[in-house]
Amino acid sequence: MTEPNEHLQPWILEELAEDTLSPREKASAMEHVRRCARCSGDLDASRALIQALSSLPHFDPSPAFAAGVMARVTIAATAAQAVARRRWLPRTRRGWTMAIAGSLAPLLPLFALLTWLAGRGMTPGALFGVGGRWFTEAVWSLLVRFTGAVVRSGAFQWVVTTGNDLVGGTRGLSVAGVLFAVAIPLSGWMLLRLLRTPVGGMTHAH
Amino acid sequence: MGKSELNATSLTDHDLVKLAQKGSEKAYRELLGRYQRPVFSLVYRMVRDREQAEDLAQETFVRVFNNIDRYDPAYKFSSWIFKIATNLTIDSIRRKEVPTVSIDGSRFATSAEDIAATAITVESGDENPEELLEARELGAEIEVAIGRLRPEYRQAIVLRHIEDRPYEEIAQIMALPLGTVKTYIHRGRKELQESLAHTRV
Repeated sequence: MTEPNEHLQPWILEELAEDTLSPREKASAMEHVRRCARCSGDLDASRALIQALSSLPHFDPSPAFAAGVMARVTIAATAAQAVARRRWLPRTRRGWTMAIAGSLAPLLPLFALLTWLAGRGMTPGALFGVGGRWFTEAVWSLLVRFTGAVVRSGAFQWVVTTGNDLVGGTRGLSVAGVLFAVAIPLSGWMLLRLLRTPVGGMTHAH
Repeated sequence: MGKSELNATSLTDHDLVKLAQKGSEKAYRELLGRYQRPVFSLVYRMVRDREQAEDLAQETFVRVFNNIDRYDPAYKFSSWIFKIATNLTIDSIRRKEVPTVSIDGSRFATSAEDIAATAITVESGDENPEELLEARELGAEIEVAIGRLRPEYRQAIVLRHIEDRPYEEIAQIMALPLGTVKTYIHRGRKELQESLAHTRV
């Protein structure tokens, strides 16, 4: 091995030791190192130091470390949700009594009505029959009123006319039927989604 | 929580942060498990006092976790936590005199128990007792040499060669230009080589 007059720059030797040079730069540097005793010695020293440093161990904190950290951590979203939940709950015994009484109050007239009907010899089966008939009539009445309102508003007629213009002939009625068949379940689904979406976004405690 | 949380160990740091932001305690614990050794080791090598290192490392995690919603995903989570750890440690070092390193334990230790608790233990995977002793002695010499470095050189050397962080990340953590970080590491290595000239390193 000869001793050239010029030596590698320290940063090239370090990058060579860390193996971060490009293949071309590395080949050129190694070519020099093979001919130069001083650079070869410096490279070996750098590699040995890096090797020794990287083999140093990590230290473990005490076993109580993790518990100590978690005891001081406020889990953000949970804290915000708990606060939001607590806002709606009564805080005193009197508050709880009022809340329970308030929620049971609407049942009192119903209980009184059932007692009155039972006193007049109305059986549970007959009561169910009367309720069922009343419910069916109410739903049917609502449907009829809704359809009448749609026809009276002119929306149905507009859809039929537009359908006739678009597809030609008198098939506008079919188009209107298809549109309403799609629109009614679709609007129901959108309403359901709207009701299920929380009012506020996820909040975090700071 | 979701299905993904069942496999917390296979999730990335970013995924865990997102779960933590939604209130998953398991995600917090997984992040703690991943970083408690590197963070504690970095701080311990900086302050050389186990009790102080535990306090600083604990404060680091508390600050990170209590501000998890402020985490900027443009940066690595490791950069963020190491940055907070190093800032706290450097502040602490500046506030009081840095204890000099002793492999036999902190100089603030007053009892035999404290001395044992604060002593730096260097372990090796070698099973040969002579090699083990040699490795322990060498490791201890390196720890002493690291402890003698200026805090900024020490920090850069530990992050680069013990924590294996890339230069760019070290520049982010230390809030310094890349060139300055390279200079610190170059000078730190040079000082270490001089300190360890009498050993096989």
